[in-house]
Amino acid sequence: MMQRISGSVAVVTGVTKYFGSFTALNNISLEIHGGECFGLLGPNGAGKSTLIRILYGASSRDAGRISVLGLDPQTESRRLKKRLGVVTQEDALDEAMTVEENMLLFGRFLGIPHDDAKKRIAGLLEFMSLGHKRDALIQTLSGGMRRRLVFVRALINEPELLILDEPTTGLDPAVRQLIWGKIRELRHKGTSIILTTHYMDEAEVLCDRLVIMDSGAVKVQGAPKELIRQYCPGFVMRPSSLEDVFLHVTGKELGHDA
Amino acid sequence: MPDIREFWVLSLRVAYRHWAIYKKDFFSNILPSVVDPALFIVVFGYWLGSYVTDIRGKTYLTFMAPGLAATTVLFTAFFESSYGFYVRLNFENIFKALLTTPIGPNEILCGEFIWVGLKGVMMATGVAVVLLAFRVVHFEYFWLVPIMGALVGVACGAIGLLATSVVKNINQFQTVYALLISPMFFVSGVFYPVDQMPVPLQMLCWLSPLFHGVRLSQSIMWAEDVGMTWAINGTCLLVMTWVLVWWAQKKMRPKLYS
Repeated sequence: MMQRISGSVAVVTGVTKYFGSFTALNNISLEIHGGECFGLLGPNGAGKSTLIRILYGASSRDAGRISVLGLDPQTESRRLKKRLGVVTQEDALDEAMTVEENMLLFGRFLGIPHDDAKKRIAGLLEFMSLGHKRDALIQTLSGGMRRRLVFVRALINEPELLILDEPTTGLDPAVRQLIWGKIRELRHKGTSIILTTHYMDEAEVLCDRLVIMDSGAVKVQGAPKELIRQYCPGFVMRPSSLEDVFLHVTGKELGHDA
Repeated sequence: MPDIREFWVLSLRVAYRHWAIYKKDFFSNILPSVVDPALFIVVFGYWLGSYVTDIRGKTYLTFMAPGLAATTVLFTAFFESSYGFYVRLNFENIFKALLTTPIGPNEILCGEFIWVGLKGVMMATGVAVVLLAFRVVHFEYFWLVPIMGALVGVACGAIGLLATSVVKNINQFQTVYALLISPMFFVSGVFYPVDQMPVPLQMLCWLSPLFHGVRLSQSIMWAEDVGMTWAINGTCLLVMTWVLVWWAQKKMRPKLYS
């Protein structure tokens, strides 16, 4: 499908973002390698979504440098967004339209010719087991189906980098497993992925590397297994998990201030 | 593609999205805009108008009819860019999805103005056709009707966007409606000549885009003083539209991109 990108897909250096007097991101630096699935974890309000929006050019930064696919999202967002796929936290589908019409409209925003888009859509709907829903109105779809549709909608331009902002929040285990499988499949084909999630098992299973953020800063970064070894090297009663690392570095362990 | 050309192409795609949704329910959408003026014509024009035999040398029906084309545009444009935009922004999250494509905040706003201008054209023309069917207006300058519709549409759409930028919740639009839109409707010279009002009110009238729209509509449909009216009221409306658009995009932009 596509060439695996060698080197970095995104380099973030000293990025700071204020909302009034509130510091949403404080001197964030990180690097995302081509072909990897990179996780952004952190409690609510840690700054994950703000950072994500800045990465794809839907929000501005107050300081620092960013390069995504070699482009600056603040000044070259149009060119950048043609090569990206983004699954936002909100489904944001047009309720009065059918599944295919929603996809076609999105193809139009991206400048994909109609016939081309139609062909791609048929394949993408099959990919996400939504082929039978092509002519269904959005208002008749279940939450899981909507989420899957938003997911494949982000693939219509065959993105080099896929940004997933809590793609499986609120989904049942079956749909979660389906989406996990598709994320792995895309990654094997060479798509680079940035993922935010509140599910530690999801991050542990999918991410090659990840950062845990808190209060707008990066607390730790590394591969899930390394982090577990480093921060929670085995409890007596059960093996430690990424969840233990998360609670440890964000100070949310019981007995701290919970 | 050169930047400016791409800007217009993307803005048109935003406007196309609104049209695609609108035409799904075209009949329900267009019906009130045609039925309301027809009712006004019958109830006020024929029935109540029979008591007013001469107003500035015209029957009451002839006097009142042209203003209806402009007032219909006012309501359509205001509701589209106040309630309509607010719902797209905060409930449907449509713009969050658009911002993941090459479309940026400027194209979203420009697309909104193109759409509200087009709706102005459709409404003004629709009402004018109804008035023609009642044989109460002249036809010679009919080609100016869409221009009047577009100008009033964009100006009143900008007022709607300004309202959207200040309200704290959707109910507060009622305050804007009661204190601004409703008075504008009643004192814009549709139902009686504005020179019968106290001088300070007359001066306020000149600040209302609807007043100028009504004057333009009257000049077209009475086939009277067309050149002079378009030179004076047309220029005023054009300047007002430009100022309102500039102000509205400045206030609304931070809500889309910060």
